[in-house]
Amino acid sequence: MFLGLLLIWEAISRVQLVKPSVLPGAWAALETLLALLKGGSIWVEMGASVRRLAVALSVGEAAGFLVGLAMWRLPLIGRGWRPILSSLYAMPLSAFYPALLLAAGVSDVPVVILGAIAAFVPVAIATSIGLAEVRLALRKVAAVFQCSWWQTLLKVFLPAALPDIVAGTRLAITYSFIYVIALEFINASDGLGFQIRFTYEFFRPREMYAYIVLVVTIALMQHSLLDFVQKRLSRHFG
Amino acid sequence: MQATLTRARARARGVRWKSSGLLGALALLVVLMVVWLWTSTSALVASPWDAVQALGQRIRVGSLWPPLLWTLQATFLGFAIAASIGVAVGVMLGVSARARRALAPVLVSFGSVPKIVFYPICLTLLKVGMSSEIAFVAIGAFVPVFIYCFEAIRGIPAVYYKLSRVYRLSPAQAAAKVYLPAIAPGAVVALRLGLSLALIHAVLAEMTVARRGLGVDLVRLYGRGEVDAVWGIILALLVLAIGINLALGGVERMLRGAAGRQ
Repeated sequence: MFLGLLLIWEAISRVQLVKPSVLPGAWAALETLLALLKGGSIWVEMGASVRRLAVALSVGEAAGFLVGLAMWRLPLIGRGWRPILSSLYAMPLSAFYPALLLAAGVSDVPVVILGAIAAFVPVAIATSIGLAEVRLALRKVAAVFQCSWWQTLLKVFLPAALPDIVAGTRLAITYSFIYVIALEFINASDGLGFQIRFTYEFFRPREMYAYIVLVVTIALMQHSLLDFVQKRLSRHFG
Repeated sequence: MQATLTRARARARGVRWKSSGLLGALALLVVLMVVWLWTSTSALVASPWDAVQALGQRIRVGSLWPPLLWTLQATFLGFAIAASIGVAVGVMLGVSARARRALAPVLVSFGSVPKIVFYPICLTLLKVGMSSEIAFVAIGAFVPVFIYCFEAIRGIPAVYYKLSRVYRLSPAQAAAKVYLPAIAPGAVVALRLGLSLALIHAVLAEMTVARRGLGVDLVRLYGRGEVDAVWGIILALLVLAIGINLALGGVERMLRGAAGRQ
């Protein structure tokens, strides 16, 4: 499928449906990407994006997990928070970016804050739902073994809810990666999103397509890798 | 006796109050409001009151409507394109097992790609303006529409197919009376997520390379230091996004309720 798309792309530029100065061929883009990867500076850009992603993800994941726990333990907030949190999904978070940029400067902080919010929501929702849907039989088992509250949580609830938490985490990774790249594209001083914007503005289509191919490849690799991990996990936990 | 009844009723009401989660929701909204008020002591954030006033001002003068209409037009037209392609592909994959095996994983994995990387491509092919924004919005909204459509069709219980055969329904009748009601709740989810993503992508595009729209105003007003007006526009976007989400969420619950009762 992807090879097919690359071939179509190459064909379009070969028959010059679109001017090659605007749309270089797939081959040209891949060549440029290889050259950039050898050149080394692209690794710095990738590092900047990955660094932001990693920080945003860990903050969002931790906060989401804790809030998810709270939403499960305290039904008073659980039911009421879910619709509000899911409305956050619908919010164009990027609208807050200019304010954060002015407050914290063009740095990692604004990107990390919004990326963390994007990661936080799915984790909180998935954790609370996963814990709430643990089967009654399992809870009874815990009661029969006279587990303490702590043991019940660690040995029964968390393993039972793990598939949901993993699913939420996958969404979190996807969303915060999407936001990190998009915010870098709006305004940043480095990073993959910034490079795509920069090469677009300065009309360097070969490099622009090279960066686009790179971002798409990273996203797809992340997706299929975690698909694999998730399938392994679900087989393990049955 | 009377007193017991009243007490029981009060307790029932208390339970309903708690289970509806309204209190918790209100508490969260209060916290968010406090955070807003607290941050608005800085010069970069307008207080809620100033934001409402600035928004009212823009509505009165009429300067809100042209960018709002532009953004809405891009959102809805982009969504319409995404929906027609998404529904067509979703139905195709829902019906044909071979197409499903070949294409579904690829299309689903496309959901993990940051769509913003395609905006420069739309821009170079279609020039800055409405058409490039619509194309980008369509790319941004496509995946959820397709996934939920496809899931909804796969989720039709096998009994329903038998049912329509037993009643000897024509394909048109079967579609109208059996299949459409069965996939309606899923379709509304697709509508909700798709429209939300369409709006998000429209604003995103406008905040980067565009000449008109709410996103353009947002960035431009910040540049001019008109903080109140900026927060007025953020407020308008909030109302728009949450309004779409809650309204369609309500429709979905209604449909699911109706499906459950039948």
